Amino acid sequence: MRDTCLSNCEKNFIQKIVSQGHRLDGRNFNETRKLDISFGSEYGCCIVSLGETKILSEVTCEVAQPKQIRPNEGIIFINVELNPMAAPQFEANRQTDLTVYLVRLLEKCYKDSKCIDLESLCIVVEEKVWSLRINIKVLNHDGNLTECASIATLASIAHFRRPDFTRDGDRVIIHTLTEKDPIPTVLYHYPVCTTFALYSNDILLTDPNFLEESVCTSNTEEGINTAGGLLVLGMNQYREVCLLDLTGAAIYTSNIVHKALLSAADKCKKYVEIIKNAVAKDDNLRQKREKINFSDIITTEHMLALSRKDLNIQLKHYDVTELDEKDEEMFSDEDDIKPEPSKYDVVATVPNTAELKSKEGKSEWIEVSSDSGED
Amino acid sequence: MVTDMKDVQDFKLKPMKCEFNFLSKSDGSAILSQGDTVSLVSVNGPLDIKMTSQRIDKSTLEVLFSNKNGKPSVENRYKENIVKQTCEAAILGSLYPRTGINVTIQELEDYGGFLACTLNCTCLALLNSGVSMRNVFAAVSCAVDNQGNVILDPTHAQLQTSTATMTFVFDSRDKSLITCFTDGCFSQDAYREALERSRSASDLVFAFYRDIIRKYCNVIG
Repeated sequence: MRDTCLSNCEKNFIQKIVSQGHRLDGRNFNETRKLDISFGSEYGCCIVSLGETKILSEVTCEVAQPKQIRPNEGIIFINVELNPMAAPQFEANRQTDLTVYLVRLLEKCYKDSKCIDLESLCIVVEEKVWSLRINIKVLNHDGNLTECASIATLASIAHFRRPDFTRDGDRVIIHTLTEKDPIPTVLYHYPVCTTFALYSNDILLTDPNFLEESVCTSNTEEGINTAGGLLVLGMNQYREVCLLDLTGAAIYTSNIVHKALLSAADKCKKYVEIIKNAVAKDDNLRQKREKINFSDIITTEHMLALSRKDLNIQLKHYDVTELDEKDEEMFSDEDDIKPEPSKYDVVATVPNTAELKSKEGKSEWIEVSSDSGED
Repeated sequence: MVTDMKDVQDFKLKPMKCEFNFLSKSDGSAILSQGDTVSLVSVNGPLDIKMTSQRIDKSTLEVLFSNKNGKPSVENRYKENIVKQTCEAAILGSLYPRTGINVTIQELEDYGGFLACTLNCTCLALLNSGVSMRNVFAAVSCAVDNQGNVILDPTHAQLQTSTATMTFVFDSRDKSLITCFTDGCFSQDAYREALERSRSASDLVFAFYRDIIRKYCNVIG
């Protein structure tokens, strides 16, 4: 299927509300969507969801011959797949610019930053090393694939364990998981990528969704848009920058990058903590011989897709979950609802009509007379 | 060999769990677990496809199967074919000429009976997407152990010692067999017994469909 194009109305609307300090889903500019990590039954397999963006990541290993120039180091291979499951516009088994871009970013973040101890993956120098294959599969594309994919990659590497081996003269015996406990991968530091959407060269949106991402990189009616773009920053828990990538925008001050770095450092640290906790919790459960399986992610949450819970356009001070609990009473008893602070006021003007006006004082109930009413 | 109706009451399948609209970008999607086996299916369509693959009398069905490690294999192509032929029998393709319907399947966990789980999940995803269908279908897997006994909906451990596995797919109208996939050696009697037991057990799957759709419709209605 062809790519769905972005309408001018959408572009203008998003640009306008962002410049006024709002986001379509009611988040603040530096607020991320809900992060959820769930592990599968095998080591190194996880599904990470960031809002509605969902990515499946799996690490597998096999014995391979090392590269000639690095005879004592293991090999890491990263592969990203985008098939029609992610969104209908993607074609199966075809490399697109987006997949190449994602693979390159992840390689920069995890291979070039030297966070994985490659020497520990060596079995016999110049003959046998472990080759790790990280397979990233996008299940649902709702923007910010980079951030979600990088969390998925890190979580699955941290969760992964390779089989143990013993050397007996020239022979190498690789033990199955039941014979000997598998060994976790050694990580020197934990780098994570974060994405910022750049709007009119001075506004940074943390964790942009699909619409925000496509609006900031698309052209405006006036011509080519050089003020918007995507800024990807990879940092580890020690606030060290591992990767910096900018697409789309032509930045004319470095202040915006400094601002992004400060906010990225805190965010990455938070993510690393979440990932470490999730892996530790999973390890605990496994030691207690509890069964962990992807069937645990099935909930009834999405069954309510067409009711209000999955509403993706939200008013800023409108908490859907809060209202959901008193669903029944809400319709019968309107007094229960807390009046939400609004910037606008409904004012009666000419008979039978009311108008939205900028708020001046406290909101009050108004009465709009109606001829067909009680009189 | 026809099984008694008394036995039918005792039939048990592994517990099933399902969630609709797991993916927000697809027209229809479902994630289904049968015991420890989990599969995820997304359906997109009817949608615009390139001229060469358009057909003037009906919609073109494309099925893509990928297993967890992401490496393409002949086995995957074979599974795609089974799902495609089963779905083509069920979908009213003539209502959507010159369009395409994409079914994408992702393996999440395979602990036995994966093909049956995938087929059931595909049916649920098709129901969720709103594509018109002639009938729904239910798949049930069976195994024959080394003594020649038929095991319904085998577990992972049971499959290790079995000599043959079979997957049957039935339609919802008159419970006729639409797809059969077998692997290994078995006797004719074992096949007939497995067929009849699966046919009766497919009632449980249809009941599960009805149950989940009833819940879902309650929510949207």
